[in-house]
Amino acid sequence: MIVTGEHTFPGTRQHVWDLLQDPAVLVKAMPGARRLDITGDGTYEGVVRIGVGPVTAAEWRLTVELHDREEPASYVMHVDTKGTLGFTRGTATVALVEVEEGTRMLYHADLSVGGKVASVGQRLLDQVAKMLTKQGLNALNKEMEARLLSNVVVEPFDSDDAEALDHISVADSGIVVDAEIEVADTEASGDADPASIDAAAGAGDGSPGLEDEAEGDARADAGEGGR
Amino acid sequence: MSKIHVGQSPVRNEDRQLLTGRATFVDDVQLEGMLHVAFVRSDHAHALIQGIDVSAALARPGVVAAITAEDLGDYWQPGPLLVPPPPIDGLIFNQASQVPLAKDRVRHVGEAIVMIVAESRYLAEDAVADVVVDLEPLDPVVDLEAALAEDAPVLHPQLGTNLAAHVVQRHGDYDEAKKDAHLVIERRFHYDRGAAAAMENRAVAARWDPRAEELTVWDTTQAPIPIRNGLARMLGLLESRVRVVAPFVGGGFGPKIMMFYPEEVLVPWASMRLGRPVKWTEDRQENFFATTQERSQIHDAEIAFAADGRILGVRDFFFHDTGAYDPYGLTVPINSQCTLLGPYDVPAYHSEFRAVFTNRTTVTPVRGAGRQHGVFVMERLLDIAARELGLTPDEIRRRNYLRADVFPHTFQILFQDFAPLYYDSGNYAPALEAALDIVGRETFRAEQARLRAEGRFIGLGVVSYVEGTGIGPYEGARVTVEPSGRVRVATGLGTQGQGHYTAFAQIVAEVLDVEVSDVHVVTGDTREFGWGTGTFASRGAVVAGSACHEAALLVRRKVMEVGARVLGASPDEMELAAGSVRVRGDDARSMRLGALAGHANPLRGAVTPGTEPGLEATAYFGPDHGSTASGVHAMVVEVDPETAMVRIDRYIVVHDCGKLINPVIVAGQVQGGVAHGIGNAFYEQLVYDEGGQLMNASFMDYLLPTAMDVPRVEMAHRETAAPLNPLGLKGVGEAGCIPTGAVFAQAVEDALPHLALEIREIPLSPNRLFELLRDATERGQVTGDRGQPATAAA
Repeated sequence: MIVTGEHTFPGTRQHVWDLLQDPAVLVKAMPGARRLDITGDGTYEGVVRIGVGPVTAAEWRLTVELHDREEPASYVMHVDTKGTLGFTRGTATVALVEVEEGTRMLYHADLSVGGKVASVGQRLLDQVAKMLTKQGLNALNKEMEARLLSNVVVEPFDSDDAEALDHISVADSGIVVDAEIEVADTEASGDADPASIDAAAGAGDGSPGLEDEAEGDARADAGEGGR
Repeated sequence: MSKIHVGQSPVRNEDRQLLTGRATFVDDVQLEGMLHVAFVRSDHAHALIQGIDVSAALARPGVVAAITAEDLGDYWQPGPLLVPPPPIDGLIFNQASQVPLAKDRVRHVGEAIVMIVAESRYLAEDAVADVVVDLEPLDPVVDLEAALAEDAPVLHPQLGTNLAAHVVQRHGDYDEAKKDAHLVIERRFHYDRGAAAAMENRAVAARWDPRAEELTVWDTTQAPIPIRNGLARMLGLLESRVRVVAPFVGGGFGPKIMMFYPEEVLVPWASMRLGRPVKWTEDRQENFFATTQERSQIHDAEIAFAADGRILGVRDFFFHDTGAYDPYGLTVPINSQCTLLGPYDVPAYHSEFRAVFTNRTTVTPVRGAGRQHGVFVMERLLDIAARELGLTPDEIRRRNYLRADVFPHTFQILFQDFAPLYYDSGNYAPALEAALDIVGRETFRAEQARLRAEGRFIGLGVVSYVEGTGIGPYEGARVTVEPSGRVRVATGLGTQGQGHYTAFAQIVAEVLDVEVSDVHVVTGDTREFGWGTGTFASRGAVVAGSACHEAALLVRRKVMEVGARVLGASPDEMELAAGSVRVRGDDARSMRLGALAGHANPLRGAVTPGTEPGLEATAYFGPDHGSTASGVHAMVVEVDPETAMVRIDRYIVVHDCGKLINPVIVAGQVQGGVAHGIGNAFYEQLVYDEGGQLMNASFMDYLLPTAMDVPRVEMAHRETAAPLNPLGLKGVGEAGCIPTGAVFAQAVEDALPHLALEIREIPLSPNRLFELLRDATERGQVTGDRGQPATAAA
């Protein structure tokens, strides 16, 4: 099964890169994701709960490994999911390109699917994959927008960097607002005024609406097909 | 004068039980303390097993056992080779049969890895989800030609190759014959996989009685006696301590003659180990993976003709997909080799096949058992040649039929019964004429022209075939007159809906002059009758029916002898009359058969050696050769070239199956076979992807024809009596589905002659037909009107 397409995010390539590597964001954005943890440098493990059409939702163990990382331009993902409904394995390439509106992400995934979900849900797999991808990208997009609005600058964790440590500890207790960035972001986001930025800044982590995505099973039902 | 029963269609003996829901099927077996089984099955088509963790499953309340290959110890062994290959010169055969549970490696999706035994099926299935199997995927092989490439992944490393067999059979000299050819046609044909889809899935229940030291197994098998023998050997028990019962079975169609399936071998073992009855019932999803399938072959065939359309010779190379294992030997491809010759005079024949292992469910015979492939290839070659030579499809066949005076006719190639292909009898040309008469040759062509003027397209297909039926080795029957006067018949054969309870009763009732309803038939219980092979290859009526006949004749003689003794006459003065025996011409000296049975079992007096008590006899029947059935199928279709939908308006079968025991039962077999064949031709296809994943493992996507898709078959019977059995019987169980693909292709082509279609693959879904129509239309537009083929009145 091939899943391919593109999506344009607001924000710079670095913003998008950071977003895509953050398990806290991914677990909220991925439809059906229950848990996602970093287990090593560029490796993730988690649990998702997904059904396809007539195949009732069940849990899948998910393992993701990132390779060939060229920050912030591209990376390759090896994906492996396993569950009682079958398995999905394959490779996805992600490329990020600076464009006027922000960053265009180009993705191409080649997945082999097996087990019950393939033998009973075959007719729906393509559509379901598209729907799940779209839902996920929309959620990531919202998160990206919220981040830009609230000016949360999440530095990548770097244990050698004492300054970074300071940032993180401050971030734990509140929001870091850098005056320069605030100005730049105000321009980028158009008509946001300082008052609303403060309100957004106090809103805490993540954007509203992502909470809903994580609740319940992601039941991607592209409609029952008949004979 | 004896009442005639053979040839009548009385109300069936088994119907009351079946229709009121009182028939026992394996899943009806409920025993105290019974445990239930579910299997952990592979999701991958080809993978190494790195580890199995059953701890979570065992921790679940209600789970009694979680068995892996390791736990089986010495009991774990590959299944026996069920049919050794025939003694053909130069034959290569690599045996690799199925194992009870995968050890080290899985070779097809659905292969069983762990057996869970629990208090209920629900609990067992929940426990299946608890088991963690660490599979390391390997590259699968699904393409038949790619499987034989140097670098292809090998399923059975000990063989070092995916070649399961290589067989060459020759009759005459094709290369010589080809030299004189006026026309040579060469094409590639594809015939893809289908499932048998019996209404009842497989099931096995077993109970070990430790006090009596007896094992009882209920099994949906078509071969209870071989299963009994095999299980006894594997479990180290006396054959007489194992009873296998095949009760009512909801359709066999071939996959249930596959023996020593993992589940069949594991459930009895589990009941002995656990000391409790155990049952496994297959669900429909499992059936698509765990029960055998058939059909995938690719043929590169060539046929050489003289100028007048007579066949000079045929050469056929083909690949046969045997799936992950080959326990059933070469029955299916050898059937394809032999049945290709059909009812035609083929002076030279070279047939060569390579059977190939692939990462898909194992292939064993399914209704037709490879015959339909041979028929498809030959009939299509004839149709293509007819077009080239300017002959009609029926004319080219007429010119090539074997004449009625050449029987018995032998080809120098070996059939599945290990003997040279032998046609015992036949008369083919009249069947063709009969079929065309039923269609109405003149009126059809006129109708076709009229409709074409209105923009509607109907087409006619007419094809011919022969079918070897009724092969040995043998079956047996025991006939007993009981003191009540009712007659009991026991035979080792199993029944899956063929009407044996009635057909065999008719045979015996006629010999003994009793009512059919007074004859009680017992089948499929090894305790009742322990010698025989099974129900397959359209042989039940021929072989077991003949044994019933022979046994009944022996009982009849005893009746005459004992009756003569008791009534004070000589045996040749005696006659049977409606359940009694009497002295001819003296109604006063007569006795009911039941009372006579009492006399035959004396409480005083002597029974001397050389005589037997009672009115009972056992007989066996084993023909040297099978009986050759044959037939002609005709089909009228209407094709909508825009939607590629095909409606079958009429289906005609003219079948020669020798003498008919019960015409209604025969009609049922033909109608059912045609439904099966229509499914194979146009709707049913098991679709696998390159990863060996089956993509349509449910009836949502695996399309079985419905009542809307199958017309009522118009049937005509011809009886060329089979000389090799006393009643002149031939088999008919598979006939309906053998030529259906070929006749369908011809009919669709005939409906759209302006497109000059050439259908070389089966099944032909509406999607695929649409593509062929579109391609043909484009070709037509590029090269101009290709003109009409010869349309002389059929």
